[in-house]
Amino acid sequence: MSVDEKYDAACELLYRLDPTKVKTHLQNLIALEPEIAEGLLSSIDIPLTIKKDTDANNKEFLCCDYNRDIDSHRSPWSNQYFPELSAEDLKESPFPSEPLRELEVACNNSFELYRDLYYEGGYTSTYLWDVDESTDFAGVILFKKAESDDSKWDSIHVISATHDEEGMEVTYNVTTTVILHLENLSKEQQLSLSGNLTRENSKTVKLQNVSTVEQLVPAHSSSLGSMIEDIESKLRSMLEIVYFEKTLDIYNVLRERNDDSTKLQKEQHSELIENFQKL
Amino acid sequence: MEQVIPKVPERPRRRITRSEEPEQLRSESEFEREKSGSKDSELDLPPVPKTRPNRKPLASSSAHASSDDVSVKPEPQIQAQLQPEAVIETEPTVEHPIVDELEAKLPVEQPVLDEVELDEPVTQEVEPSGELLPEESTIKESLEEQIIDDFADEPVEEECKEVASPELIGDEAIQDEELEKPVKEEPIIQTDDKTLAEAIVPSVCEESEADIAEEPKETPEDASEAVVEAAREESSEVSPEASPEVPPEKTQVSVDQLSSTANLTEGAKEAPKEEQKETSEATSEETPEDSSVNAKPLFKEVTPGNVSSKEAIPSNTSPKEGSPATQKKKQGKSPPVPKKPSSKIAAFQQMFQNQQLQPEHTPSPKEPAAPKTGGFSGNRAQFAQNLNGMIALPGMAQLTPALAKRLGVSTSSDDAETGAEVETKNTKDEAELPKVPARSKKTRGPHKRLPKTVASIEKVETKSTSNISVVKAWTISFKPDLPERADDQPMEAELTAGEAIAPSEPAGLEDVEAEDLNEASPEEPLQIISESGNSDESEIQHTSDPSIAQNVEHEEEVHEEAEAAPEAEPEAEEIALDTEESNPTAFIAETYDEDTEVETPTA
Repeated sequence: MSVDEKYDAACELLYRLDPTKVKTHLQNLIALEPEIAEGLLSSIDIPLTIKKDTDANNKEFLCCDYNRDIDSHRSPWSNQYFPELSAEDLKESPFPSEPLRELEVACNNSFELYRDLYYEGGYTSTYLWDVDESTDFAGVILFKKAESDDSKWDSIHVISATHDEEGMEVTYNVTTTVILHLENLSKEQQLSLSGNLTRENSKTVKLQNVSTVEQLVPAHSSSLGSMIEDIESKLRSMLEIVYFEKTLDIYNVLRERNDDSTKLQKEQHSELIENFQKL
Repeated sequence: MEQVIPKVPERPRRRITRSEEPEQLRSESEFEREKSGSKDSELDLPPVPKTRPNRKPLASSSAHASSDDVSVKPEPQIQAQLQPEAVIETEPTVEHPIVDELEAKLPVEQPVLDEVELDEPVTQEVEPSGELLPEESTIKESLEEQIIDDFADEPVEEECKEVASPELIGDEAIQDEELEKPVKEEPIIQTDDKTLAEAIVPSVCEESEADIAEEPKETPEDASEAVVEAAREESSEVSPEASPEVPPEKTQVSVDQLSSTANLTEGAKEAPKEEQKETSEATSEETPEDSSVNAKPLFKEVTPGNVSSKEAIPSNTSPKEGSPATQKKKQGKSPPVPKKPSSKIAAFQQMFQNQQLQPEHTPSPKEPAAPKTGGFSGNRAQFAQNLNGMIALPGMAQLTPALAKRLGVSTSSDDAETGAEVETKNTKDEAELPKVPARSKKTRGPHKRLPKTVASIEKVETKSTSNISVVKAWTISFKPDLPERADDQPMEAELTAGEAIAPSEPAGLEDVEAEDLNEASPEEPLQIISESGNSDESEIQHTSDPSIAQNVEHEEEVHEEAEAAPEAEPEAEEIALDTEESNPTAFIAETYDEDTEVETPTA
């Protein structure tokens, strides 16, 4: 069994396991096959975690596999790893290039506004990294809202911007994953609804009058922002219209069928009527 | 019976009152009759036109219309319809020419009513006509005249009212612009309807157009009256071919109102059949007329219905155009109705083509990224597009690469997982992007090191500590030769002292039996075991020899004496007693069956 086959098998298995325990399942699979650890960690989306940037007034930032190195995560605010890595480790740790870091900061600021408008709370972080030595870049835009333990929303947008040969057009590919977890913690009616939804989207944009980095930053941030806004609205509507509605239908059907009390009532009612008729 | 009769006379009144003018039409219709001749037999369909059958064609035609080209079909249908029309005109009987014409008008109105209101009133009007006709002939003329004088005006009004009711509803919806549009569009349509125009008298077309333009201004009641009058005038003026064309317009309009695709040809065929069953009592003369009249609109309806249905479904304008007000006005007057639908068709085709061309041209990749156009932007079109990715369609199932490999399907997980891609991939460049499984396509993060917890994991390779091997422990082979066995018998006898051999059984069973026998050995004397079969026979033969048996017994006795407990002695004695008998195999069957459950040897 080759590594690829193991990797595919692990992914299939994770798709079918309890989504609320993805992290534990992932760790168990990695323990079974350490060879596929890197692939699984980068491809399987798990709920985001939050850390605080002590260098930025303890501002929270979201952690995922894309800003991780060893056991530390890079903060978008201070561009430092927390917990701090050793000097030797930092030499090999990934950091964005200066122009890309500038774009990263701009994106973080812009998506902060987006988060404030759409999420009315929560957290957001954007991380970018260079792809090879070209002008292309990739990144991840994270949103998390978990006001309480019983409701969590994690959206992970993995983007890749590819410039054409002339550098006049940029193709953005966005892979969006929304991890939703809803749970009713009351003892009487325990109900949990969780899952993830992944969609991909691509868009080609022509860069007009963009020659300098200063001009590139707003161009990329605006185009990325529009895409993220569009995709998130789609996914949100999908969840509302398709999945929740369908789940509700199924729930109602099951509930009606299992309602024995109504049957008893009907039977009793019919018996009463018959008895009255006999009188 | 008397009660029924007074109700009936209403119809005859109409005929009598309006019999004056229609005579001209009769002459024309008779002309056509002579021409058509044999067609009458075909059109002997039942007189009572009921609108019910019309619905079926509507539903069935929808599928038809969608698949077929709009411009192509209408022409042949219309031509086919024109033929029955000619027949219909010839059909009217000599006895009630006026009545026939009026009825011919009524059926034209009926389809409209049927589509608008599928209720009884339409049928009620028609049925009495068919039923009353025979009665009319029987009723005295004096009674008819009196009744006619009283009710002559009423039936016409009733009809107009009934027809007008849908018109009133439709008049509100109708706008002058809409009515004018079809007239303006006619030139475009003419290309498609040239055949129709050729078949139809041009003069009639012009009149109809003019009437259509004037119609919206008139009130529904006035329009209904005007329709009746215009029908009279046109019937006299217009050639016989034009008269049958009038109903199709009405039907077209009705079809448009319902925005339903209708192949009325089928409905027309079905309708008469049902009518025949219901109105079997009707007179033979009247029945063909009614059927022909009813069939006429239906056939004519077909051509426009198909066209209109195709166009009407996608476009909201079609129902407006087919408003009842226009129908009434057209009913009495104009045969050229097909022009409107054709114009609509052409316009719709153009719109459809333009829509198809627009996405190709407009979304050029050169254009900058469109500003934020989210699903909540309020654009319904975009919202509908957004739904494309939500609803799973065949082929959209998310196939993991591994599963796709197993199924032998090309991994288009991009398409499956990204329904939204279709929307955004407007440009060719995007389409050219390689389709890679989402997992691999998902951009990988920066080069990083694994966490210590994961990096420290060492895969443990399990080594199997247990080796399983199958080996033949021992085998026993028997040779069938008797003399050799005779030599071997003492050996077997020796073996029987401690073991019993069952040569035909597998090794496992032999082991078990041997163990059982060993356990039982202290209590019971061991005996020679033989099984049914060829080998058994040989053993039996051996044991049957008295010398061998005595040897065996002797050995057993010795063995028993040495090992057996005192309890086993009586059994041994019994066996010894048995052995003393001449038949040595008898004890084998008895003792061995009980202890070892081996098949008893057959003597």
